[in-house]
Amino acid sequence: MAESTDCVTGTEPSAVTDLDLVRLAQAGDVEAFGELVERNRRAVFRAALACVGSPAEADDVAQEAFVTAFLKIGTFRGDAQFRTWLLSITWRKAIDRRKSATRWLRLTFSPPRDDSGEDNFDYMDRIPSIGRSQEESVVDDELQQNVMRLIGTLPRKLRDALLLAGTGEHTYEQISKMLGAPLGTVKWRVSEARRVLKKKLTALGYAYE
Amino acid sequence: MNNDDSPFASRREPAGIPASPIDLAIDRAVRKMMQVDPPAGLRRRVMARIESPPSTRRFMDSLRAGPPRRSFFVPAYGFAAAALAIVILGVWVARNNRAVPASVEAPTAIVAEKAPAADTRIARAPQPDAGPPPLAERSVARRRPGFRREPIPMPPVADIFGARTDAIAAAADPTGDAVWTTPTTPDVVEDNIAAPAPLVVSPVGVTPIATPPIVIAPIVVGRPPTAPPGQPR
Repeated sequence: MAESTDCVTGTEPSAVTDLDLVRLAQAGDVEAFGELVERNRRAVFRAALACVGSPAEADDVAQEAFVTAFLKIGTFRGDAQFRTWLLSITWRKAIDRRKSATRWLRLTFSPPRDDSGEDNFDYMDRIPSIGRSQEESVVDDELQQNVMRLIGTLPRKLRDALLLAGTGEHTYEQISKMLGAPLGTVKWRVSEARRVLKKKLTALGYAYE
Repeated sequence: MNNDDSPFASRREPAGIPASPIDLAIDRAVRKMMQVDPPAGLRRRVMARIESPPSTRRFMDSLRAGPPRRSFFVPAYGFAAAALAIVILGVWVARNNRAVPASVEAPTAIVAEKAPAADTRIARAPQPDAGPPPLAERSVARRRPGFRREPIPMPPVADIFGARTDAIAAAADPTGDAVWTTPTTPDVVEDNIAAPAPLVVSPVGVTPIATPPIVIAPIVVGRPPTAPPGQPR
């Protein structure tokens, strides 16, 4: 199986594949594993972010996922891509974090952000804003804010699929492996999430076309 | 960012057909939410955790992570169940310890001290001097200084059927004084409108009862005789 050689850091693709680095790490080369961390850090971080919703928590989850991957790298046989294997570990760690009692307590005793009845998803306050183009109007800004708020109210299955698909780092196959759902189910969830969002936005008064 | 490799990038509108503003807004919002770079130094932090000695790593991990989540996750339900049990127990104890009335004696009248008590004192039956009032009575009097408890005086119970005599009345009286006779004069009738009618006794005659003789028909062996038409069998 061909290993992914994509360099997600934006530099030139390396001649050394992930599988080569994995073999070196399995032999005890810590620096080789460091290179794997560098190559996959963004994908791991964004997967964790899609699950827990907080950059700080996503950073913790990413660290735990990498440490766990290092400890278990001897069990990696190369049947799948290293990134897919790593993302599966990351998603399990993130789910554990999402279900943890401390997080539950924090969300329970923090003041509610809206009356939607869904769990709080605190992207809007924690993620730094990226550069905006000049032509984005105030109306578009308000629309985006409403979209982000409504994404937080989506059912978790739909929201996870939509956000993972929107990271720009994961293919549908990787998302399918992470979520443990068939590929068609993942695609349907993304489509359904968009349909629900459109319906809610239309109910808020935004024109569909 | 390499957005062209994402599933969102594959969802493109056909050439010449602009995407709806809502679709574009959804794409933009999701990208804004998700396309965030990890904090700087992630590789360094990971390598520091990996390269630290196992014992130190375990200790530092426990410090960073706080209480172990898996072991804390289950007790979270335990804490909730314990809190629920305490609430239920508290309600049960509060119900059982609800204030019991100070006295369950027979109800007594509460009489205002300034009210005239002449009538009740006149009707009061002579009672022996019992000394100080009972404890419960005093405690009630202390708690409510404007009123005092006082038993309602009742006269001694007499025989409601009058004085008992040895005389026998009605039909067993041999003198016949207790038996009324039929009134004959109009003035007496007017005075006794509801008097009973006179009792008339008529002699009862004895008539012998005649019974018809019993006739036993002879038993015939064979087919039963057929009933003539029109008669029930």
